[in-house]
Amino acid sequence: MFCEAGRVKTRPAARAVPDLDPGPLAREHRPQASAVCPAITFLSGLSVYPRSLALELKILLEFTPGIDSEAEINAKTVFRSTASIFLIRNDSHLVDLDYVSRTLRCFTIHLLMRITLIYALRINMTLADLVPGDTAILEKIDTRDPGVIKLMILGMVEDITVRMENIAIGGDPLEVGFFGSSVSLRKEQARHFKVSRITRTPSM
Amino acid sequence: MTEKTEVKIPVSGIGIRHKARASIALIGNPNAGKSTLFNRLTGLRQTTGNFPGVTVEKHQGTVELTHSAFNLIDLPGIYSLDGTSTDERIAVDVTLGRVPGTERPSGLLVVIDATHIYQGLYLLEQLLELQLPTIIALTMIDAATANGISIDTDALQDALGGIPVYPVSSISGHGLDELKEGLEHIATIPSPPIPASWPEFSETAQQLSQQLGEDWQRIDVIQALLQTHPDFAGRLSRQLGTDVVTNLRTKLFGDEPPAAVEARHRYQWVKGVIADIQEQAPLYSKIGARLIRWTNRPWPATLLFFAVLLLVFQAVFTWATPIMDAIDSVGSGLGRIIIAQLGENAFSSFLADGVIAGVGSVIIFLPQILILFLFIIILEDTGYLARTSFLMDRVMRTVGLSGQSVIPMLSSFACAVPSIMATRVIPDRRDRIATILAAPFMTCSARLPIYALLIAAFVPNQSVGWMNLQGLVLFGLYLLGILGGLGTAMLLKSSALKGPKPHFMLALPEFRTPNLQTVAIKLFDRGRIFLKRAGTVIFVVAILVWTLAYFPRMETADYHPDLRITESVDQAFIDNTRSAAQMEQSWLGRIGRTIEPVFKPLGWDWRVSSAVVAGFPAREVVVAVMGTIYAVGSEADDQSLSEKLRSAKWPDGRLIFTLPMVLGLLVFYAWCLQCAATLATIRRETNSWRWPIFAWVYMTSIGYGGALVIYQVGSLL
Repeated sequence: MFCEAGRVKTRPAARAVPDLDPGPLAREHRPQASAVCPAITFLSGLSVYPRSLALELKILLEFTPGIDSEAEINAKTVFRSTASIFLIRNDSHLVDLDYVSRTLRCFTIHLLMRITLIYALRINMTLADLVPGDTAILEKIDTRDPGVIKLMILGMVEDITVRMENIAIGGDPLEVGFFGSSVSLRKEQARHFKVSRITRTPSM
Repeated sequence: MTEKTEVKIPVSGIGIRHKARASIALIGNPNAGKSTLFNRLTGLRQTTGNFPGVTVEKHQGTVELTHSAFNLIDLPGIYSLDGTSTDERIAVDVTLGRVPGTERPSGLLVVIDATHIYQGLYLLEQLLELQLPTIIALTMIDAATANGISIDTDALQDALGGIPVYPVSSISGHGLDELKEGLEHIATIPSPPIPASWPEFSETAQQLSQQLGEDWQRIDVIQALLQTHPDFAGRLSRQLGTDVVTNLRTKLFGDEPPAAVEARHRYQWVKGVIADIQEQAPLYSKIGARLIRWTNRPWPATLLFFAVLLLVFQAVFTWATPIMDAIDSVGSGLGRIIIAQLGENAFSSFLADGVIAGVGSVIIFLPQILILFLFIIILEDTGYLARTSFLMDRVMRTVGLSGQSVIPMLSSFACAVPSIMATRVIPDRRDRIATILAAPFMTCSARLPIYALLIAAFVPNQSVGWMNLQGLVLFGLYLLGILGGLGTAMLLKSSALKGPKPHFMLALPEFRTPNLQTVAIKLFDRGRIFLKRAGTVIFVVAILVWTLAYFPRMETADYHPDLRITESVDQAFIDNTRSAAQMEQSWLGRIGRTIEPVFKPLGWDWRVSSAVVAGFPAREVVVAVMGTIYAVGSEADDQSLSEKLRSAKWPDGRLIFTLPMVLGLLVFYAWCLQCAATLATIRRETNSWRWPIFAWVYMTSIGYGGALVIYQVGSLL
């Protein structure tokens, strides 16, 4: 299914972006992704996957032989636990397609290892990556956005446990619950809240 | 402590009233049950006004205690003292005694919602910096218990360094006596200790306030350091030198915004307190709670939202019909009795055609308006209205606004005036103005009478599927208003009011069963306001219009002498022709014919034109004017107004109310800004004449344009 991916011409390695914002570069790369493997685009377009996880590919690649770990790649991966396949979503982060194709081949070999890794390395996830029912702890807050400060005044500060309650139709805004309150915010602001220790609580 | 069994006789009831000496400020988070507590404490001894210079409502009331009384000032609900919105600024300024005409409160009654103790304690912590005697009323204890939360009030009192905490249930009134008892001794309460949540900051503030001298209070220094009050921040820089202040700030806040650092420190303390005093039992949700949570999920919630809207419109039409029919027959019956008793003269016509027809034609819509308000009040009280702004944020974003504009727009369905005031919660000025200009487009309750009249007269009462066609047309008119409003917002946000993408954040209240008493009081209040308008403004206008239409009288012999010749003409026709002739030569007819050319392209005759023109100060007058005009015109009073409209003709015999004309009239009415109160409110809220003038010219011209296009195109087809 992913063999097609290897045939794609090598593109110049894309530079990493420091911020989490996808920026114009990522958008530019998106059409090529669909050329690589229509299945990826198709499946990642579906929002039915059990959960989405973002992880730092750089660290992942250190465990993957034959791949240059120097390139800093942020990739959002989609894990389909039922089908046991990995898909890479590049809709919000910059992905070097060459690395993606090579990584995809390796994924089949290191599947089990990665499942472990995912749970160990749930870093760089933000509030915007949670799905309804997820509980997480707010880790680090980027206070440069004035909207974020208003949320902090409502009580969204470091080290509190929050639960993603609902996501409105269209993926935005989000409803986050903590200490018995519910606050609604947009994804834009949610990206400034890094989270950790995600657990899934049964929906009541 | 006095015995609890003591029978409390309301002091006001036996004629002894204590003079209110001190005043106490009632302060707390939004939705914390502050207003309910305020009503409970003050009863009927309250006044509503405005704080000087701003449009924030000032509720004041007298609380009667056994031995004394004091003045209770209800402040707007806030989350912190850092805010820059008008509500927040006023709340802070009143507590600090900075508002002219309002004395500085000698104590604070802080309302904390037991289910939202987290945010409540944060505000409390900031308020403790004021060093005023403080009492805490812990509300919603029953709701907290239902959520499996138990709060140890004694432990809370200890954690707060001895501030008295009174658990109160505003609904059952439980705990109120103890709270009043506590309030009696508020003067003797020592100033509460400031929590040690942020020692560095506290010390710096303490040092500075000593160093700066008498005219600096501690809170002033704090506001200056946090840059929440620009005046004090400027003064501090001037007095100490900019470098010193910058260094101080860097030492305290690093390179982060002060408010963020403050929130971090204070909530750290709040979390510590909560851990000591609150126990959360494992929650086994009941089916009801589960169902509510399920309906909060995006798809069910959105579907529910539209279902509720549709239900409201159906209810407005179908539930109200029997009551309206009853009012209608009472009105016309009364008119007939008066004419029969007094004979046909100017006075009986004044009573029957002026007063009863004019005011009655408005009162008849009271059931519909009450039903609409009932739904809106219930939606508001259940917390569902706030949730709709969460659901609709995505939609509002496409027009450049945020979900925060949804609540003002939805409450615009009742009346634009309070909804324009409700835009205060929108932090961005551009967004706020765009919302203010979009709100008058929403179909307010004053538009309902003419919609109802025209729909009942010209839309067949038949069912389409399980829906009623009349209800559907009404729904369409509401959609038309929404389209007009959103279109305007989009236009403004992409041109004159272009700005950065708005933020959207909102605390969503959870579902609450509406309190029957509160709903009833609010509904009664709205109904009273409506009737008061019908009884004053509309009454005066109806009389004015009747006078203009009745005088000058023509000689009875004058009319169409040729009709006398043909004996086959029946009496009703003669009567109608005669009254039409009288109408035309009356003052109203003359005025109407002068302005007729302006509205002729819309297919309106002088009667419709003058009714519409009369409606510019207040649109609900239009139906009353039509009622009067058509009542004066016809002697046959057994016809209802809609029947009269259906049979109204041009001099050449064509029907006036053709389908294109009616549709055009509806569009004109949907888009035109015929409300002086709205204009005055826009003026007050935007603080300039520019926006109300713009709104009036803009809405009137697109209303006219829309009606023109529909009539002209419709007539060609």
